[in-house]
Amino acid sequence: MTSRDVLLEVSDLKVHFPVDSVWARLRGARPVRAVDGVSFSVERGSALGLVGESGCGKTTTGMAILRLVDHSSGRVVFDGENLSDLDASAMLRFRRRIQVIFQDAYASLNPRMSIGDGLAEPLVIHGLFPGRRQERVRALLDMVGLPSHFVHRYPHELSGGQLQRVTFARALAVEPELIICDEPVSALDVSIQAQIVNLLKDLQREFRLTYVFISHDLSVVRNLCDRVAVMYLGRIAEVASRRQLYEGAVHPYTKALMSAVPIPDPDLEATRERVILQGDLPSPSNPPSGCRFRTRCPVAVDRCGESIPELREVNRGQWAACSRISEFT
Amino acid sequence: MIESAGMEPVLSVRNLHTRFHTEDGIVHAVGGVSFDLLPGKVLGIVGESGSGKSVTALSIMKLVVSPPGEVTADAITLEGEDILGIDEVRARRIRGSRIAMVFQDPMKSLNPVLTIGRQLTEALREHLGLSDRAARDRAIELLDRVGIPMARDRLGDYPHQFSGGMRQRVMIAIALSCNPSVLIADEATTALDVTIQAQIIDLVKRLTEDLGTAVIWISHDLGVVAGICDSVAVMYAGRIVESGPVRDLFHRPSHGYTLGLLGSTPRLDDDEERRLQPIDGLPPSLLDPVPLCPFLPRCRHAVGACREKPPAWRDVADVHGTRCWADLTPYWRATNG
Amino acid sequence: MSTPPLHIGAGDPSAPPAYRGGAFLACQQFMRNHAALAGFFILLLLGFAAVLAPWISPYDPTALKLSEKLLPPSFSHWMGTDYFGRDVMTRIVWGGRVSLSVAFLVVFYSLLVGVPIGLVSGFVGGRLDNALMRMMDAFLTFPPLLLAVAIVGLLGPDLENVVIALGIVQIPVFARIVRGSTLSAREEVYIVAARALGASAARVVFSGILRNIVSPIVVQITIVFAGAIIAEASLSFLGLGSQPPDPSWGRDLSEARRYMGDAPWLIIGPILACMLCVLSINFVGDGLRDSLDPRSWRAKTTGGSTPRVPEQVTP
Repeated sequence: MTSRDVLLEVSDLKVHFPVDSVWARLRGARPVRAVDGVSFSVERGSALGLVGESGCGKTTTGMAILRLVDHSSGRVVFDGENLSDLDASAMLRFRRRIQVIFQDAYASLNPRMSIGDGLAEPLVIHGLFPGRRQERVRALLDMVGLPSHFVHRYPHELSGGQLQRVTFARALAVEPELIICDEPVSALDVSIQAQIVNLLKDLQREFRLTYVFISHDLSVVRNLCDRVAVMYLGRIAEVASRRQLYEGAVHPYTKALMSAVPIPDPDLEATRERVILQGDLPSPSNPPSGCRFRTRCPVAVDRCGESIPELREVNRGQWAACSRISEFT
Repeated sequence: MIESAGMEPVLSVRNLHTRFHTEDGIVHAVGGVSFDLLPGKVLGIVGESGSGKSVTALSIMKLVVSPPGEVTADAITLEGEDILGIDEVRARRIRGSRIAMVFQDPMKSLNPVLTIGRQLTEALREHLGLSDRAARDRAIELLDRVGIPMARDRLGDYPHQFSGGMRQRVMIAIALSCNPSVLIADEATTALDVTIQAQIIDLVKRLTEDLGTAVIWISHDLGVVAGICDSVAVMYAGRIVESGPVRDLFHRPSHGYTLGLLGSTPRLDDDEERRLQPIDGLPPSLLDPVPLCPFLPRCRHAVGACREKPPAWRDVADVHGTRCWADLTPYWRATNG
Repeated sequence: MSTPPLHIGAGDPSAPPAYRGGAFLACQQFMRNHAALAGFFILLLLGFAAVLAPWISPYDPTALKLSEKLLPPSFSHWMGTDYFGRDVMTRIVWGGRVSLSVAFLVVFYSLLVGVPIGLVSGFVGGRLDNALMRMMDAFLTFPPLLLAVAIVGLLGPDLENVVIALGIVQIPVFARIVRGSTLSAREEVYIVAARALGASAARVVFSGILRNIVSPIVVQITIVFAGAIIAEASLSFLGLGSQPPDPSWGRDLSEARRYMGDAPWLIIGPILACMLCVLSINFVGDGLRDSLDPRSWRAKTTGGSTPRVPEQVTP
């Protein structure tokens, strides 16, 4: 990746969910700061992994890029154009170029629409392939490895893996450039998960797709993504290339997260060192002052509570947000 | 199929069958499962959804609703006592006190309208006959032991006031409250984040070692199983297809399905360009079990014998057996990197 | 494409199953439900009888023939005759014209107004939702039959006014049900997915939401239809619906009451008609609800999938 061809750039994105009721506000309820200052960029044709535990804001970040939730501040620049100020009709042009895949494939398909109708819908919405839609639908099914007679099936008749293939076909229907994948393989059994991961890789190569791959599974992300951003409580803790992250993570949270991921190798499991984090994730409506990870951080010191650490480049292309980072590298 | 090496098994299951009578026919969810669980050991049961691993656990616990369920076996013995034919009253006495279970979703297994304290002391009073006061003290001690801070103050809290990880800790406290000889954990950490999962695994390991509880750890996650279990049984389509000591099984997988699972699991320590080797196709229908190996249509390593006769159980090493005709020795190297 | 070909389960039929359209499968499913099918034919019969009444009824429903008054059931008068010598069977057939058309119109109008209100309210939300729903609540606070009595009392006893009175009462019922279903359907992932695809609000509402809330609407239609038949009968019974000598199930019932001692058979006809009609509608409604849902189409194409094992309850 020598020439930087940035397709998506997110800078200082914030999504705060306000407290709706007056009573709750009087009782002192605070807005939920689901995403609180997230910046990253994705190069065309690459895959960025957005990883973290539940409640870290990775899904909200994805939805904010798609403008499916409103963001409070920050910018989302797609192919040179700022999506943040577009109105709904201007956004429609970009809906075709940015697609999304959800974790629960069954829930994301209209249960009363046949697979064929479901795949034709995006073509109808964007007025694509007039007169040749049936052929296009069959070609799409073929692309994702499903037989063409599936057009007459309904979602409830398909297995989880097949449904996820259908949602990919639907995303591909409009020839997008960027696909936001929100935990697309998390609900699948491993043998099926591997089929879908390989399919994702093949499709990326064939259509030069760019992925933002949201996942909690660091092992899958390693297999699929070129760069990885680790999120914790609405902020990015560390962002680096795959090799840098998996072979030399610097942020204490990334290290702890990696050490908690089980590896299917009994010898390795018996000998590897494990950092077991204490306690639970703090509430995103009342995050700790300063570094958000400090309440669970094994190496936190008093100074960590003073100011929010910014992302700093530790190595070329590897950024981490930790005020003690210079002591670890 | 896992032979007891001299030791008396705490739980022994022989030829367990569980069927469900549905509108579309009889679903053979479990088709002849046998295993021994040795005291103080952790047996992992791995398999994908529909492999029958959870139904196996529920059948042992006598929690399969009948009808539509139907459980038969040659024998199920708990500490030498036959528990196959016992009635519901005796089964209830055994459940919770001698075999306890922890489920995937602690929110569903805890009663949302009762306090944690009440739910904990209930089992203690019922099974151990403790007084209110003694039960309360024991409950506090248990919560403390599973790592719930300020246990005394939290007895009056309701399940929704706990985080997912904390709820699972409470479930473990309830399960271990009567000092059972067997703990069945059914996907107990699947719904949790990895850092919380690590906490819970650590906790279960520590507690069961202290108490000498034998554990059946049911999971779809090979990594978790590799870290916690002493021996592993791999289930597919309602049958145990391979079982053995954990190191042996992971290093010398001897069934096409085990090999397939290992090949399709992404690893944190993978080579960057390793392409996953998925298992093609889908698991078979459990409606009409085929006499041949159920994995045959998806198997990459099938040999001539696979298409002719049902696979017989054969030993590949000490207490390591498989139900596979193919010799997979050449592939061990490949999976071991 | 290097994706390996996919086996569709173990029972993979190598030949793709014959294609059946959604409408065909829905009909097929409906036919499997015998109660619904029976109900459908009974309704069809009642409907035909009502439409064709002038041609098929052997007697005049209103002409007086005092010489034949209060005759018990016989071959010439299957259900006997009333106090004025009119054939009861004939009057039931003619009465169906009134009862069925009133019920049909009540459903039609309340649906026409109530469903859009509910959809808009649920989909747009916010202040508009609040305003619309408070208005509907105000309507709901009136006891329905009393409101109908008041309206008919005000506008005069006329079938049109009966339709208006009964229809107004049912509007908030439809609006509330549609709003509630819309609110939950709006949050479904497939609706979010449709928005992400760039679907317009109209497409989201009609293809996404409306299609998926058909079930509660169909159920409500059957309830309202059945209720309207009873309500019309009640109003006529009170003398506020159809006026003598016009036949109506409710009015005939009210007259039959007077001759209970002398001619108990008079009461059977109208009651039977009401009951058959209401029951049939309920059965048809149940059948429709199931058969409109693709998940109930038990096409024999599902190959390798295993029927769902009933979910276990944890202790």
